[in-house]
Amino acid sequence: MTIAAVAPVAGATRRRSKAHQWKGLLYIAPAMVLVLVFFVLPVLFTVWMSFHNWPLMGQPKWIGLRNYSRMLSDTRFLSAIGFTAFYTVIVTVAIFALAFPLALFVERERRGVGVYRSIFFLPVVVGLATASLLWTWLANVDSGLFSPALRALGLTEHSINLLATFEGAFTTIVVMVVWKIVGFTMILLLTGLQAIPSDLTEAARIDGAGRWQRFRHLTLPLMRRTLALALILSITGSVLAFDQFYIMTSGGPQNSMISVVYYIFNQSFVSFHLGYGAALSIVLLIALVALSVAQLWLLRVEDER
Amino acid sequence: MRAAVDAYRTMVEKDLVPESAATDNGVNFLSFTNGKIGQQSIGAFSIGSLVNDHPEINFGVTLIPGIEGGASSFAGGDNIVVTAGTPKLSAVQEFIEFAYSPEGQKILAQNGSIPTRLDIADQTLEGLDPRLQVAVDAIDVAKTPYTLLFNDLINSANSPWATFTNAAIFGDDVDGAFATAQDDMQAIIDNAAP
Repeated sequence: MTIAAVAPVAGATRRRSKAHQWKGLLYIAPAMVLVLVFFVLPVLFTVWMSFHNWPLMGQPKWIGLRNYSRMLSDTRFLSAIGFTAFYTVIVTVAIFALAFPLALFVERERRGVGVYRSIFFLPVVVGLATASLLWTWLANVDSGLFSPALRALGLTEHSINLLATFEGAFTTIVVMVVWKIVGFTMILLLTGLQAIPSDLTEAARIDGAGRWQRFRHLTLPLMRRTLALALILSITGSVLAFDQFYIMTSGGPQNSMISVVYYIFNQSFVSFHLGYGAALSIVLLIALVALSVAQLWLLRVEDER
Repeated sequence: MRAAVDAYRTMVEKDLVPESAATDNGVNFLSFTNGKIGQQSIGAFSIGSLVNDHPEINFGVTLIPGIEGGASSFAGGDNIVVTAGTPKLSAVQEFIEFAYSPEGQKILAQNGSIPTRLDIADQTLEGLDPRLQVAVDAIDVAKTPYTLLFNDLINSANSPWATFTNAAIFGDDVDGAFATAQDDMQAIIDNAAP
């Protein structure tokens, strides 16, 4: 349309550009169909469901915004939000605290750097559910690794059930998730580091900038886009966390690790309040979009301001 | 109930309970079968499983003993549900009648289910494992908690009941565990769809 409007040439050109546009639409049609069928329509249907009292069996009943007003006084939902926020902050900080040094370490060309990269990245290719099961076994008090090892080394008097207390279970899960995810964040940060032209680094070095100064004033600002991507992926993943809590502790000990998605799952597929689960999902979707927009805004690049 | 909780807490303090019990989520429901456990509180349905599937295990059955003598049990849990508007109502009726007939009861008992008709229990259990009789005795003293929210309140892994048992037996604040369970159960009942 824009082309046709600015080019005051009638006839052939206009026809050709129109045909051109149709062709373009044809090319993206398969992708559009996928997005439509597997994202847009389900979301719209979820919105529709969220206005109903929707049991698994029986007739849905329109109840307007009651599902949404119920959330405000739902203490279990509010504590799920609190826990998810806590988990997201801890895990994201832990991942970045480890991924950045790792990325700096594997960026430099040194002997065996490919081996290091592969080793750090290996856990990423393990599924989260598989990793959770593996660590459930590692943390098992009787037949696992950690407790029997600590006991064998004489560090604890008798086997300690790591998953029985909040501190032990939470630490185990955070360590597992960091082990599983840090390689991916490392690769993302690595691409950002490698995109920094080496003449800039050299110029800074000639100007007498120290290692920390170069990192603070050159590397970090030039990595804004990469950081934004890594941060959004990490935070989105943490906010949507479910598998590890479901598999490793069943939300325990004493329901202290029920994340928001876990609560939605319980409401929808354990209690069969599908309408309420749908409303919770919509709220979570809105919250995630808001979180991502906020991060993009915070990490926007200078020239875009 | 307070006394029962205290009894369990004493067992934990005296180190009579394995460390793994605190995180037992029921995945290995019948942990008896590996022969490494001395005593387990479990539903009577497992008598049948042990008798039929694990003839090698030598075990005895008794009712859960009370703190001051006596015994307790609870019955119920599995229901036959018929969906509204089924076109096969007469077949369903026939099946239920058969299941409760002397013949049906016998077939169920032979396959490890406990008899549900007390009036013909003697006849049903004749010639079967004598340990199944304990399940029949249990029905005499059993209580049946009744609610349409049974899964939300009691059975699900994150129910107030499951949380309560863990908090009351392994936690530090017994009074808090009682109060929280009371509040959570009430909240679920209040929020139930009308």
